[in-house]
Amino acid sequence: MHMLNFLSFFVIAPFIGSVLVALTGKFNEKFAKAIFVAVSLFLASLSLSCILVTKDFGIIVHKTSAILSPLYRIPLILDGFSTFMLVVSNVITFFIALFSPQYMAKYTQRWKFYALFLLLVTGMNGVILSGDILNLLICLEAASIASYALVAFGTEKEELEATIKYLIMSTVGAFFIILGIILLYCITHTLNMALMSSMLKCQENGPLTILAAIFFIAGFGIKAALVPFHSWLPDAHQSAPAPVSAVFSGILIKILGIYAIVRIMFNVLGITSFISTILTSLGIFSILFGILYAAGQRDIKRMFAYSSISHIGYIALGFGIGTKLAILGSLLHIFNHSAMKSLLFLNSGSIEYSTGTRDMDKLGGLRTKLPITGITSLIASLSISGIPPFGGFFSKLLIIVGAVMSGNMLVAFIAVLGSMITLAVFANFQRNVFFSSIKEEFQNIKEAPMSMKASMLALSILCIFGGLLLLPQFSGCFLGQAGDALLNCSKYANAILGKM
Amino acid sequence: MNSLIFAVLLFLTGIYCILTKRNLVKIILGITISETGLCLITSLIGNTGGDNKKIAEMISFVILLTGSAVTLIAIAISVRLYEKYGTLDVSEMKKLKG
Repeated sequence: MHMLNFLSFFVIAPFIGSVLVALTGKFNEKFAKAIFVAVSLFLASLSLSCILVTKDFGIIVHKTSAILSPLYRIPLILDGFSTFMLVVSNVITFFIALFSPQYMAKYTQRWKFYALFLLLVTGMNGVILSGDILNLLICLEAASIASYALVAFGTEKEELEATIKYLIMSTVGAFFIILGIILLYCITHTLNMALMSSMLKCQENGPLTILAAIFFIAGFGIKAALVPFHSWLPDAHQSAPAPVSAVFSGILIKILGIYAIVRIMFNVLGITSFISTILTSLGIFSILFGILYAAGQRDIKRMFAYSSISHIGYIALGFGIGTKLAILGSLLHIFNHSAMKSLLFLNSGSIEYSTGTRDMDKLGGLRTKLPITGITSLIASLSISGIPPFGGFFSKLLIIVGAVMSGNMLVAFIAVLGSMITLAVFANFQRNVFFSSIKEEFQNIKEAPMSMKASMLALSILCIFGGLLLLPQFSGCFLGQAGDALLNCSKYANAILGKM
Repeated sequence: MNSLIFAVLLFLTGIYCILTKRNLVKIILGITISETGLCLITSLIGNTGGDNKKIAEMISFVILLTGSAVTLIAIAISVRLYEKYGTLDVSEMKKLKG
C-alpha cells in the first residue's frame, strides 16, 4: 500500500512550509504569504480526499519510512474519527488562513506569524494521525509551543500576561499527561496505542489504570479548558490576534483536548461508567459556568471565549453519555462549533479592523456600515443559540435527546437551560453591536477587504448547512464512520494490529 | 522503592513551587524541578531491562526536549514582562480580569 504514503504529507507539508517561511520571510514577505495560503489549501483538499480513502479502505496504517526516522518508525493511523477531525481542522484552517494576511497588516514581522501558524498546524495534524502515545505527546507539545508564541504575538502587556498564564497551566497539564503515559507504559510496556488497548483488555482495570485515566482527564482537561481547568482560556482568547483566537477556539482546544481525551478513553483505556460520569459532570459544569460568565462580559472576544467553554462542555457531555446518538451529536457539534465560533472570532476581527474597538458598550448600529460582517455574525449567532434551520440546532438536539434517552433528565434540563441562556447572550450581542442606532464616530467606517469577506461568507455557508451532514448520503461515509470508530473499541485495536 | 519516593517528592516540590510562588523566575524553576522529577520517575519505573530501557530513555529525552523549549519561551516572555511592568511579581500583573 505504498500509494497511501500521503498520510505523512499532513505533517511534513506544513512543517516544510514553516521552515521555508522562516528562512525566506524576512526578505520576501509576499512569497511567505503565498506559501502560507498554498499549504493550507493543499492540506484542506488532501483532507477532503481522505473521506474517499477511508470509505474504500477502512483503517489505514502507515509507518514513516526508515530514512526519516531510522531508530523508530512512527505509526500514522487514519480511521473514521481521525478523518473527521482532519477535515474539520484543515478546512477551517484554510478559511482562517485566507482571512489572516489582511487582518495581520497592522502587526510588524508578519512572516513570523505565518511560520508559527504552520507549525501549529503541523502539531495538530500530528496529534490527529499519531498511533503512538509518545508521538502524540510530542506533537501536542509542538502545537502548544507554537500557540504560546502566537498568543504573545503582539507583545503588549495583556498578551504577555495571558501567555504566561496559559504557558504555566498548559505545562502543568502536560506533566499530568506525561504521568499518565508513564503509568500506562508501566502497565503495558509499550507505547503503541493499539497494542496498549489489546493488552489492557486482557487484564482487569487495576488502580493504576484508573489513576492513569484521572491523570489524562486532568491533563487534557486543561488543554480543552473544561471547567474547573478553564482559567487560561478567556485571557488567551481575548489577547491573541483574531485569527489565532479563531484557531484556538475552533480547532486547537478540540484537537489537543477533546480529540486526545476521547481517543485515549474510548480506544485505549475503554470507556467505563466511572470515566463517563467524570466526563458528564465536567460537561455540565462547563455548560453552566461558561455561559453564565459569558453573560457578564462587555468585551466581545472575551464573551465568545466563555461561550466556547460552554460549548466544549456540550461536546464533553455527549461523549460522556456515550450512546450512539449522543456521540453522533457531539461529533456534529465539533463540526458546527468549529465553523460558527471561528466565524464569530473572524467577525470580531473584522469589527476591530473597521472600528478599532471590541467593547460592546462603545459599538452600535454596525449593520448598515458592515453588511457582510453583520449578516454572517447573525447567522453564526442564530446557529450557536440553536435556532432550527441552522447546524447548531441539530447537534444540540441530538445531545439533548441522547441525554433524555439515557434517563439523565437533570443533565438534559441543564443542557436546555444553557442553550436558552446562550440565546439571550447572543441576542444581547447582536442588539448592542449591530442593531442599535449608530454612533457618531463610526459614520465613516468601511467594510473589511475582499479576502476577509470571502472567508467569512464561506464559513457562514458551513454554519447554515451543518445539519445536512446528518443526511444518510453524507453521514454514511463521514459522520457515521467517525461514530463507528469510537463505538467499536475492540475493532480499532484489532484492525490496526492486523495491518501492522 | 526509596528512590521512587524521592523522585515523586521532587515532582511534588516543583508543583508546590508553581502553585505558591509569586515570582516568575521561581515559578519557572518549579517547572524545571518538576521535569527533573518526571525524568527520574520515568527512568526508575521504565528501566526493567532489555528493550524497555531504550523506550524509557526515549520518554525522558522527550520530556527534557519539550521542557527546555517551554522553559526557553517562558524566560523570553518573563524578560518582556519585566520590561513592561518593571517587576516579576505575578500578583502585580492584573490587566486581564472578569
